[in-house]
Amino acid sequence: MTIGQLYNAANVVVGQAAVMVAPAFTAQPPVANMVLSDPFSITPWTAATVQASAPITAGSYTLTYTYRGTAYITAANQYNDPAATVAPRIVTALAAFPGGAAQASEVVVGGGPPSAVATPLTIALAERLTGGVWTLTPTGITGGTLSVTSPLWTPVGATDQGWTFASNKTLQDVTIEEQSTLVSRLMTAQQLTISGALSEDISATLAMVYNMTVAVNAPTVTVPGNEVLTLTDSVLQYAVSLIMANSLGYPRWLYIPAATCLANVSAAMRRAAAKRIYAAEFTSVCSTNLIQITNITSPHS
Amino acid sequence: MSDPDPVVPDKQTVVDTINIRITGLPFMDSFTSSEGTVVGRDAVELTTEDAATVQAEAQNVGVILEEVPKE
Repeated sequence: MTIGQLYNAANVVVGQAAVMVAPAFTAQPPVANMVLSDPFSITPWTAATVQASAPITAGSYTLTYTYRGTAYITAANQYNDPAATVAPRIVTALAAFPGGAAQASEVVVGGGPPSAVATPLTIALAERLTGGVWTLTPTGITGGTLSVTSPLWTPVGATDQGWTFASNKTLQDVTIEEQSTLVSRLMTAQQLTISGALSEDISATLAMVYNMTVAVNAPTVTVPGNEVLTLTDSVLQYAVSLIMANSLGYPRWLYIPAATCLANVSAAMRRAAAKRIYAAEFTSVCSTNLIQITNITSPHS
Repeated sequence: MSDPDPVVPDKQTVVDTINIRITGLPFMDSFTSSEGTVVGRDAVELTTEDAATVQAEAQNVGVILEEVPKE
């Protein structure tokens, strides 16, 4: 296992919780997509979707996964190929992936066939394979169009000591002279926070914890590809989800549709004494009734 | 005497355009292609051909651009 690899070969997180982020108010994946056998599966969160606009009656398509400038292209898939047929083609296409060929267990293809509008094909990759962009090239597709949608949710990555889920309340006690105990307690403010120390020194981490925007520049013949992170006074907002397992071994998801990431950050750059860690604290900035925990209590009927 | 030739309107070239914008996490602010085309979080209108080029370059560096339906 390499540093920052949160998920093992079976797509199971090594730890007690994981955090996913997305643009503010991105919906949580449907409960129906939860993987009951693996509460920490990122499949429901990171699946790309191959969707038809109308019933497809003929044709084929290839899928391209572009990762760090390299395109990995599948063999042609027929319009009505089921998930079990498409999956091995993706595994084959990712044979030369940096860090080792993709394993069958790292590519989870579900749903389908994509020829019907109601049965989109979903493609989820293990964490080490994520970060690329999917595109689709149709050949002779008739009846409708096929398109692939990349996922909006992204794993935040590895932490130093896991995640902390906290609720901070400001209370106003109500007393009367005639009674020693409180008459009532009112809550004047409350904040839900998810905090942790990020240990992946990547630009996404920096942008998030320092509240910076990223401008990406494609390479030209004179200037190499680069990205410029710019500090901003505009507060960036994220949808945040904390993935946990409950006492039954089923998934439990905390969902905060809008949160800021504005903790005080102090990252020590040491030669050998310690790794670089970046404090992240997601603080809720949405209505209380939008913050929910979805907890699975029993398997499907 | 025959009628004059009917007026033929100037040929007009219809250029297909699409609107695209950058998507993904909120800090992802803009993408600049090698030709200098800038795509931000607000949709920009590009010719289909230019959009394909920009999208391919964005793809190479892991930036996701999405097509926005025109109103």
